[in-house]
Amino acid sequence: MWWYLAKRLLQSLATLFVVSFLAFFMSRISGSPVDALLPVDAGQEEADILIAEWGLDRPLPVQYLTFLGNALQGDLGEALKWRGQSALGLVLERLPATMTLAGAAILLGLVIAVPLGVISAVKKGTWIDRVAKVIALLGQSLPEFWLGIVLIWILAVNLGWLPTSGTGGLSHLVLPAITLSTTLVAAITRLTRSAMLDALDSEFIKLCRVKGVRERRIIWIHALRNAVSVPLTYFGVLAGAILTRTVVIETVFAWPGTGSLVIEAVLGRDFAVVQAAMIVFVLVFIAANLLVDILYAVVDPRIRVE
Amino acid sequence: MLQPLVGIDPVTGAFDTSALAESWTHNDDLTEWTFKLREGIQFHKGYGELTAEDVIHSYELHTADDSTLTDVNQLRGAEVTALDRYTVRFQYDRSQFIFPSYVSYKGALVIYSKAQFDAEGLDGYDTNPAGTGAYEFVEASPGRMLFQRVEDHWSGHTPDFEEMEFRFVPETSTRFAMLEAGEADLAILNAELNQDAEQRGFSLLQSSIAGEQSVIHFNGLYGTTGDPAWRPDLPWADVRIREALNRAINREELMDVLFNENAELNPVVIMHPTREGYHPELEERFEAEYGYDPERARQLMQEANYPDAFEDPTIRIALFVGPALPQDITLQMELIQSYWNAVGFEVEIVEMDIAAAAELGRAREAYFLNPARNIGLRPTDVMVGAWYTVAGGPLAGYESDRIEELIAEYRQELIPEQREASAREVFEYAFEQYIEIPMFEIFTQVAANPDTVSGWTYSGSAGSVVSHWELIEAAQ
Repeated sequence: MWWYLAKRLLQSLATLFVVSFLAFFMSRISGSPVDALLPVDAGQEEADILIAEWGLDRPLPVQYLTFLGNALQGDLGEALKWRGQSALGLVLERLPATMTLAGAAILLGLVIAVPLGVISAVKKGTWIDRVAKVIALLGQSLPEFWLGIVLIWILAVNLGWLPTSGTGGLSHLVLPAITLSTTLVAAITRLTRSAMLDALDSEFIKLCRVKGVRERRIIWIHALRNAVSVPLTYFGVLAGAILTRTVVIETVFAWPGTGSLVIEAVLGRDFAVVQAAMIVFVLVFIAANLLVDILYAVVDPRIRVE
Repeated sequence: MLQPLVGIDPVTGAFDTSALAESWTHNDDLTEWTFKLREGIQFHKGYGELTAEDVIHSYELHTADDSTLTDVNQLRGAEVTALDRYTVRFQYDRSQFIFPSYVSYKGALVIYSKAQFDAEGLDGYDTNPAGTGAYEFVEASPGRMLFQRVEDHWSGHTPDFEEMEFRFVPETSTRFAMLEAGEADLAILNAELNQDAEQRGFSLLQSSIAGEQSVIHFNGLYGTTGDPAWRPDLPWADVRIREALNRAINREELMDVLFNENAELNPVVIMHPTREGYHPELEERFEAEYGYDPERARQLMQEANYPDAFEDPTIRIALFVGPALPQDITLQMELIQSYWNAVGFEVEIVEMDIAAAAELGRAREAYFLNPARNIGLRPTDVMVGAWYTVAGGPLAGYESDRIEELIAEYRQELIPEQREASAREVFEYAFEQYIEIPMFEIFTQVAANPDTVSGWTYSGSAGSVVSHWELIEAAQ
């Protein structure tokens, strides 16, 4: 197990290195921060001052090596748009809001999707199954941006049950979390359903039934434990992807997290903040996948043996 | 919350003494400007009385090399001296014709407390700034700022609302929903949603003057002698094509569709009755020389042998994307594209963000037309320099020896009447050469809940589209 974790850690470091390289060069392809930040009447002289101050006049490889050297010491640079503030500090300041939103969405997604997928498989072909399929279809096809605005108008404006946007309490979390969880619900419901259908059709389940094990125990313990590795695999991907989707959700709901910070940083060509956010997102993604790998071993003894 | 030296009248948009300076004078050649501060103005949070030292400190802070503030270049280069506790002098080695503008709400300089800086450094300004305005900073968190009313404010005016909370909500539909749900009393929407808001019973509080001018720049015309970036093969390098593009647009129709009667025609962009160089004759000539006339447009295209005379006859429009762009611009450009298609122009709209376009401009490769706005009616001197000179900004791009010469003459004039005349010449040249596609002057509208807000007098031209927060009136 320790060797496995060490190997994963090395892979993660390699991934981080590649991401830092991509983040650095891709953010620079898109244009100069000088033009995003200077006022319209600024001349070349003012542009040159900023270019020199930010070291943008040096060759790109030199800039990258400087960035890498500083990053290894935990310094991801100073924000360009938010003068005087550390890029990593800004991202970490906003991260709890994003993690809260993502965590709520994941929790909501799992609470809805797993039972729905199980029931849908057990009641295959019934109205419950059809409803579950419709929910999954809508969840995957409805644009989150549109869904968020529709939910705001129905639940916040017309019914007055929830606040439209912003932060302040648990009630502020409900609408963005529901919106963010829709894709997760759709994907996990479908995967759980299909994995449960396979599991329920397997020989060991038939044996359980022959031995007289109660049906409820067969479904929720034996079959689900065997089926869960399939949605769990996808969950690792989704948990990371959900972070990147907060960019849209946070914009719609004025949720002051890392996603909305990234949008502002991208538009302002704030390389330092974009890079810091990408690196933090990747770290969270790596951690989520590591957690999934460990959970694999917990739910499936065969993995532990391998 | 923070105030400059010179105030702005909320009705006329003219400079006034409603801010920190009670008067100001200048010498004959306008190289020295002396401001007399109002006595007894107290900084918030107990940081004491405003003095000339606070002005000098704020000037040094604002004009540091790393400053990216608008107009800071115009402000730089002064020797600033305290003549006494309440009098401060700015001394330049160049004439400063419109200096009050640079130290007003339009400019870069607002006055911070030196005492706070000495006690807390920049961190104090960052986390708990002390100003002198009618509202005092209370707290801020990402996406939100809270201010409270200053009782017994030095101006003698007490705002109606005890607290003012700003929420930064990027999505316009969400802002409208906040208004509808009663979570916001005022919301800045777009033209389309303003109409919806009005139909649903909200009031639209309009700025006193149309403080936003819209224009489409003919970019990439780097026409000064010997400029290697000059491309005579661009269709819009031909003045007949520029006129045809102007003639093909039905501006009246566009105004009806886009602006719900809150816009006016703008014969020459930058030019305004409240600014140097106002030339009413050009307004009178506008209909005859720029008015909608598709037949005339086709005739001009034929005279210019369009499209055959041009290797690439496509009229390329760069549409800047991003939240800062007013949403009506996209619709406006799509409608203009259809007008131009109707008379036979080949048109392509290319989306790009403003920084990428500016980078092309700085590389002198911005060979496209791009919509732009002069927000807050910035001064003639600043804007003609920014838009029509080689040394100017990267997002305009009409350059020629003649306009450089006219602008240089205008800027050298010291006598106000001669400056006016020279500025008029610049506008006349711009008008006759069709160096822009002038569009509209737009009033700002803010949607308000009539149950809580009954009115708001703001000029719409104070640097940002809204100002004078202390004048928001509570409904009884």
